[in-house]
Amino acid sequence: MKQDERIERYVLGRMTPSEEAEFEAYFLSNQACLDQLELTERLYKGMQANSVDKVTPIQSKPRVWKQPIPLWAAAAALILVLLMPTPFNTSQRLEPNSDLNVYRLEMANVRASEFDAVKVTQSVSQLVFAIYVDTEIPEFDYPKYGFTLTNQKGEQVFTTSALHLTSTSEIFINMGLQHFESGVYDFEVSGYNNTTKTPLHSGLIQFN
Amino acid sequence: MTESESDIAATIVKGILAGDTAAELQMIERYKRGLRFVLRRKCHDPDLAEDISQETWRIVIERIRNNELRDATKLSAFILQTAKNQLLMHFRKSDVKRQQTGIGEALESEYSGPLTQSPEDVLERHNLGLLVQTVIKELNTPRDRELLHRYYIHEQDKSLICNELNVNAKNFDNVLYRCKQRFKTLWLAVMEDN
Repeated sequence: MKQDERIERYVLGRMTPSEEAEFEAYFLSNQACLDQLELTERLYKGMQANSVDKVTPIQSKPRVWKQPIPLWAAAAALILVLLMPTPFNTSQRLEPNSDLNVYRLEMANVRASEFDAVKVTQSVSQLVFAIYVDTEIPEFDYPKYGFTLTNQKGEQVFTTSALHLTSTSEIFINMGLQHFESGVYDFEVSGYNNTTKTPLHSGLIQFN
Repeated sequence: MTESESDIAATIVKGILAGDTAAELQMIERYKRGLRFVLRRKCHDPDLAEDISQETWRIVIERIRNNELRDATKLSAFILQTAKNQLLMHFRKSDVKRQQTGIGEALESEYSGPLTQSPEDVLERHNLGLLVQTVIKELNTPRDRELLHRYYIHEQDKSLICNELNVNAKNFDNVLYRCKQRFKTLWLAVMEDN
């Protein structure tokens, strides 16, 4: 069987277990084959994503943040935000697919009132929070990040301290398939270095 | 495995048995990319894949030093089996922990198993979807688009697709090849941008 065909069969999961084991042993050190495997796998994932999601472009946040913003514009924006009388949504719910429920939490926003809590509708899908971290702000630049969720009784219901930035400067908090009781929770994002934990941002999440 | 690959494996194992740390490093360098690829496919979690990978190298080196690898030419299969065993043990430990602490209780860095995607997978999948949309739009004919859909999404057999769409195997391969090359160009452009 030609290598291309084997690659397709492997990526599409059409090999028997013994075929698969044999092929894996073959390509383990074969860089050229690995190049093709990775390419085919990406293409396959992309096709699968198109079949499930209505894919719309997500704005490339790092490029927006890296453009220089005049000081007067930043100040004007901050004043506008502070003076706004109506609640604003601190989250952006990303286009869901059948397996995942992804919500973006904004680090830049000030702590909101209960009316401004991020509203999360729970489902059978895995819940993920996505947070963009602008590491050009030195106060936000840490080797690791943590996330905690506390209920109104002060009990910590979720915690992790092992989050790393992706290549797009985001951290993802994988809440898994846990179901939280409806209500408002405090969340906190922290930065960790070897010796200390530093709170970076906090806010409210309302689970429905 | 080609003869030259067998020779390389045998040389590496011989070096490790002789206590040569350069041979250990050579082994890791040679096989680490493939190992990470396999582990990421099996657990969908790059951090876990990396942890298992590290543990695998430790165990493989120790076992080779103890002369537990009888056939040096089977080095890659040995590495893979060790890694898969480690991954299996990890899944089993996670299941026990989940049962002991109860559903809904918070766990530090809980691993949710191979049925769920990591956050990195979420974003990568989304971005790959955008690239593929471009590739599909650039295809010349509706038949070529249909071919891709049937093969990658409906996962139909190549021979069935060829039959029903009235294409021969060579044309089928050409369509896939063109798509992959175009996709590769787009992907490399994205990587350069980032």
